[in-house]
Amino acid sequence: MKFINKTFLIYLNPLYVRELEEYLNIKSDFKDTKILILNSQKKYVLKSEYNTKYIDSLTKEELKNYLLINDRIIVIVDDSKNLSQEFIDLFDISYNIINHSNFVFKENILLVEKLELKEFNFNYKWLYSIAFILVSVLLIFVFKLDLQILYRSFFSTFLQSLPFLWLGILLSELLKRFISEEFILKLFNFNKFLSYLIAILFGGILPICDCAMVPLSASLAMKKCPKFIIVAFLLSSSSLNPLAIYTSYIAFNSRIDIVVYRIIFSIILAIICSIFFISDRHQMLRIDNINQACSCDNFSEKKSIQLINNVYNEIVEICTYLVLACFGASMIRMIMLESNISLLNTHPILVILFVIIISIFLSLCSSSNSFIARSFLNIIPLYASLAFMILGPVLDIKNMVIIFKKFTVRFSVKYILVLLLCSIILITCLRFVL
Amino acid sequence: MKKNQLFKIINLLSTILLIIIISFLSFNNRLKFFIHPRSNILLWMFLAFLFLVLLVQIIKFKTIKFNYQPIVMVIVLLSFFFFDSSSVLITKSENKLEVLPKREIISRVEIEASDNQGIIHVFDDYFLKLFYKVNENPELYDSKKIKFKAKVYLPNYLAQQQFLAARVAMNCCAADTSAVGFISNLPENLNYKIKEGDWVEIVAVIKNKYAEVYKTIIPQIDILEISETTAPDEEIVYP
Repeated sequence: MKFINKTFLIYLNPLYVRELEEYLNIKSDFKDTKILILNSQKKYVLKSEYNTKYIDSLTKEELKNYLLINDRIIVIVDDSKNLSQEFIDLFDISYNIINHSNFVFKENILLVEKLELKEFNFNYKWLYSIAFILVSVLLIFVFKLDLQILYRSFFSTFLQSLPFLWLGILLSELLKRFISEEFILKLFNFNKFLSYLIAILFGGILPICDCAMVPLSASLAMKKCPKFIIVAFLLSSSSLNPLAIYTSYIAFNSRIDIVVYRIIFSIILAIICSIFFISDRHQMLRIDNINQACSCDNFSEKKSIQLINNVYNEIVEICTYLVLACFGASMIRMIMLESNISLLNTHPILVILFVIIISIFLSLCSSSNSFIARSFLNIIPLYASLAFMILGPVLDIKNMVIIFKKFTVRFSVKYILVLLLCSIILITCLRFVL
Repeated sequence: MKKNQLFKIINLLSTILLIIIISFLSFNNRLKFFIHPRSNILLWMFLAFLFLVLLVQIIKFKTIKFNYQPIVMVIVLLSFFFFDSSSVLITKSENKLEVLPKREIISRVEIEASDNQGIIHVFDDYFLKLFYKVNENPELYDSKKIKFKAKVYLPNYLAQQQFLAARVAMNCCAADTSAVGFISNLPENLNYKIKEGDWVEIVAVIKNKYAEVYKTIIPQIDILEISETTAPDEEIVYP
């Protein structure tokens, strides 16, 4: 049985539910539309001013009855995999949307343009992996790399980083549950100077991985937090957290001086970069993100199960990147060793270029990049390894993609250019210190 | 069987496989060739977490979503059992130089013992610590006699009748292992043919001499006695 022209199934990221509610409320034709959410996040119930109903699980019969009783319903599922085909068959129209700006209403029919970004992300990830494998195979043949040594280097770096990465993600998830977004927002909204200090220091002590920092910063921007504070927070928290400090200590042979330099220069980088944004009055957030809630809002009744699932899903996802990054790092290192290329005594410009390029393309988190930095010690100077540890998580290519997604092009471009400029300054300073 | 059900089983199986692989891996003797033994505890913690994941997946079987990524992890970790590269450490010298000096000070008694002939006997596990100590205090050890077990390496920067009496040192993982040891000068009158990969027991005298490769004066050893021996229990030394 189909509920023609009145039931819609939408695969929608729950972050956009409020946006959809507001949109429907404005449109007179859809004012009485009921929204039913399956498997969704209950936190939105508290915020909802409209008629959204949240249901964790529903049988097919229950759903059918619900659809019969109510006039016009939009059923939202946060992921297409959450719903079996028998459920999907109940609906007249089903759409896959991520970004609310794609809602288009025409003659009582909700038309949704398929969002290209999702497709792009999917292809991008696969294309990146395939290109990476092809380039790797080519390099192995060209440089006649010893596969045994390459494998040993790759596997050991991977195995060393994996448990630390897991610990970082676990701490990050725990923190999301114990420190609310409201608390962080309050911290940054009373006094500019104090907030600035807190942003730098708090960023450094929060064990949240750098991937979570961009959405969190976007939510700070939504709350009208000054731009320079956001930039300081984003940078200090990305390159510094307790686990990153600990891994630097372990990887660098218990050398306290390296750890201290990492902390100091991460803070310096955050301060220098944020200065460029003090007088910047331009729009920071993309229009389509202004009313969006923070992606860190992740709340469920069964907290422990949700926590375990989230940590597991995140670790297996990031693991794919970690495999590529460790392999890439091992290969760069081996090529340089086999070809007797050493940047130990070369011109600093070459070292700067090398550090920036590997930081961007290896895309490593702060909790695991210390080990990779340590493995580069025989081919690049110590100051360059330290610079890689600090810049790796902030010049990360996947973070850049998220920045462009969340913030305006103007802000994103300025942020990246400022970051590159400050990276050059930072590496130069480190060269004179170490 | 429905496609959906099959995906769920695949995901559950990949978690079980991950647990089995990491369990075998963390208790495998070859692991020490890849990572520092101190990392084992974190690996066990990760293993405990995977047990929790499995438990959740069994309880909430209906809600499992298909995800190909654990399979990537399984393949990578599984390669450990099929790709034995631990022997690389033992047979090949990678011509690497240790560039990060250790700053830790260890009491002398802990790492060495002198016999009544004034020869310092270096315990196998403490070779690296003694090496750092000698390099940090070259004057203190100049002309001292020393006895230790090491492996013969022949990096290309050495002259004839020279070899590196070294041990494989690991700071955090195999990616940063290096052959750390003394440049050894072998007098021609000694009946020993230098062969890379040999384990030897050496009695030598420490001399501060100019080394072309470092362009500076460093502690080297002049060999007094040398004989082939067996490998120590732990081939890798940790700082």
